[in-house]
Amino acid sequence: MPAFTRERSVTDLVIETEGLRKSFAAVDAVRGLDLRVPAGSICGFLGRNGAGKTTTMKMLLGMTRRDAGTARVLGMDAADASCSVSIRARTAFVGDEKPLYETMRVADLVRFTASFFPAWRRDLETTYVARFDLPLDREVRKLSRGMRTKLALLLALCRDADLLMLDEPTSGLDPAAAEEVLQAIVSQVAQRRTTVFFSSHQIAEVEQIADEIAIIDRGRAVLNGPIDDVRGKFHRIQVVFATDAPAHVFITPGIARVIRSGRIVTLIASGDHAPIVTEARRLMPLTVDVGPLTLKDIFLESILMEE
Amino acid sequence: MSTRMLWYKAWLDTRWRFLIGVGVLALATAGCVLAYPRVLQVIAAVGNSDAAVTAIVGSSPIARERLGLTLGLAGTYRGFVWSQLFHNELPQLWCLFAIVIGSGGIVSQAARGEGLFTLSLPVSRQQLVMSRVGIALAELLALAVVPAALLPLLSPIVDQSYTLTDALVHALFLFGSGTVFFSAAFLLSSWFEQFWMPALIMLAIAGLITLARAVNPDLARYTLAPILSAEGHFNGTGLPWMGLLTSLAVSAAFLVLATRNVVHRDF
Repeated sequence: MPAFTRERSVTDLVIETEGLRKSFAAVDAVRGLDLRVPAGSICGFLGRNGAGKTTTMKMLLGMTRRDAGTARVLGMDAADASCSVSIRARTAFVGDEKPLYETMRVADLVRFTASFFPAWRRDLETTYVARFDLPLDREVRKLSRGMRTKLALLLALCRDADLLMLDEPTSGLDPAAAEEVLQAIVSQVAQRRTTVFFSSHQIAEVEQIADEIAIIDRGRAVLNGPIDDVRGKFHRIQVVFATDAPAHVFITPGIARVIRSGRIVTLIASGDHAPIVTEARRLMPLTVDVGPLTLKDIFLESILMEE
Repeated sequence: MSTRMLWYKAWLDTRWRFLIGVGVLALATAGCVLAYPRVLQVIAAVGNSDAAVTAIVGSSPIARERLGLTLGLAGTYRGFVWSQLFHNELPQLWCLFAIVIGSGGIVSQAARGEGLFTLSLPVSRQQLVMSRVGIALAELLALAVVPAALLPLLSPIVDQSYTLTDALVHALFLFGSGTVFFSAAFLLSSWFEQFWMPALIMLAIAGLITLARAVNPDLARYTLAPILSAEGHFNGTGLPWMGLLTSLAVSAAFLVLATRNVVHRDF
C-alpha cells in the first residue's frame, strides 16, 4: 500500500489516527485506519460507498466508539468523553443527510446553534443569510435540499471552528449550488486557515479545492498525503510496439498494473517511473510515453491495487 | 445559555404531548366535577332498591359489591372525587402520558437523522439526557398538579368544595410513584430506535397488570395503584411513604441505567 505522507510534527496535524478500527456486528467498517490531516489544509476524503468514511468521521467526533487504535483531533483524544466535547466545541460537522431540527424555523435554529459557540460570527451569519438567500421565517422541513445544505453550511461556518468536517457537503445539489457551497468553504479557509476535512464522491470537486487527499477503501487508507505529491507519484507509461506486444513480465518495483492491448502495453506506475521506462525501452518499442494520471484514475488504481 | 437551549429543545420535542396531556387531564377533571350533581340524582334514584342495582350490574355478587362501594364513596363529594379521579381516571391517563412523554429521545432522533446535529454540539451526552429528563419531569409534575389544582377552583360550580392541600397530596403521590412509568419508557427508549416501541411495550405491561387485577382484585395491593391514588391518605390510614420511596428509587435506577446506555451507545 503506497502511503505518501509529509513529515510533520504532531502539533501540525489536526487529525491523526493510527490503527483505528470499528466493527458493527460482523461487519468491519474501519480496519486499521492510518490518517493524517495537516493543519490549514483542505483534505478530500474519498472512498466508495461503505468504505468507512462516515464511521471514521463519527469516531473522530466521539459519536461512535472505536474498537482499537487511536484517534486524535486537534491534539485531543477523540475517545475521551470530555475531550470529545472540547473537540466538538472547535469543530463544525455537517452530516451527509444534513440533519437539522425539522420543526424549528431557520432563525430559531441559527439562534439555537449560536448559543453553543461563544465565538459565533454574527458578521458571517448576516453575510451568508444574504448570500444564500435563506428564508429566516420558514420551517427547516419546508426548505429545499439546496437551501437545507446552505443552512447546514451556514451553521458550520459561523461557529468560527478550527476544523470543518463535512460529509458529502454537495450531495444532491445542482452544479451552481455546489459551486456556491465550495466557494464558501474555500473562502473560510482563506480567511481563517480553518482545516477542512470533507468526504465526497465528486472527484472533480476534490481536485478543485483540496490540497490534501485521503483515499479509504474497505476501512483502510490506501492513499494519504498532499495531492500534488500523490499526482507526482502516479504515472501512466504507454509502450507501443511495431507488432503485438511481447509477453514480457515486468519486474521493476513500482508497477501497480499492466494492461496489454494488441501492440500497446500500458503500465501504471505508483512510484519512481524512470527504472520502469528503462526496462520498457529494453524491449525495443516504437515509442514510450509517460504521462500523469488524473485524480479519478489514481482513485480507481488505488482501489484496484488494494483489491 | 447553551444549557438553557438544550432545555428549550427538550421542551420543543415534548411540548405537544404535554399540552395534549394537560388538556385531556383538565377535561377529565372538569367532567368529573360537573358530573357530580347527576351522580347524586342517580344515587337517590337507586337508593336501596335491589331491583335498581340488579338492573344496572346484574346479579353478580362481585359487581354488586363494587357498585355498592362506588355508590358508598360517591355519597360524599371527597369520596366521589377520589373514586372517580384519583383512583381511576387520573392515574390511568397520567401514566399513559408519562409513557408517551418518556418515549423517544436522542436514540430515535439519531435513527431519524436529526439527532446527529444534536450529537455534534459541544455538550456531553449526560447533559443531553439530563435536559430531557428535567423537562419531562417538570411536565409530568404539571400534568399531576394542574388537574388537581382545578378541583378547588371548579368545585364551587357544583356547590361543593375541595381543599387544595388534599388535591396536592394526591397530585404529588401520583407524580412521585407514576414517574416509574416515565423512567421505564425512557429506559426502553435508550435501547429501541423506533419511537413507538417503548410505548407499545409499556402499554402491553400496563394492559397485563390491568387484566390481572380484573381477574383477581386482591392483586391491586401489589401494584402501584394504592400509591398512585394515595389510598391511605384518602381513607385515613396514612400516606404510603415506603411505596413512594421505593417507586422513586426504582425510577432513579431506570434513569441512571438509561443515561449509561446513551453515554455508551454508538450513533
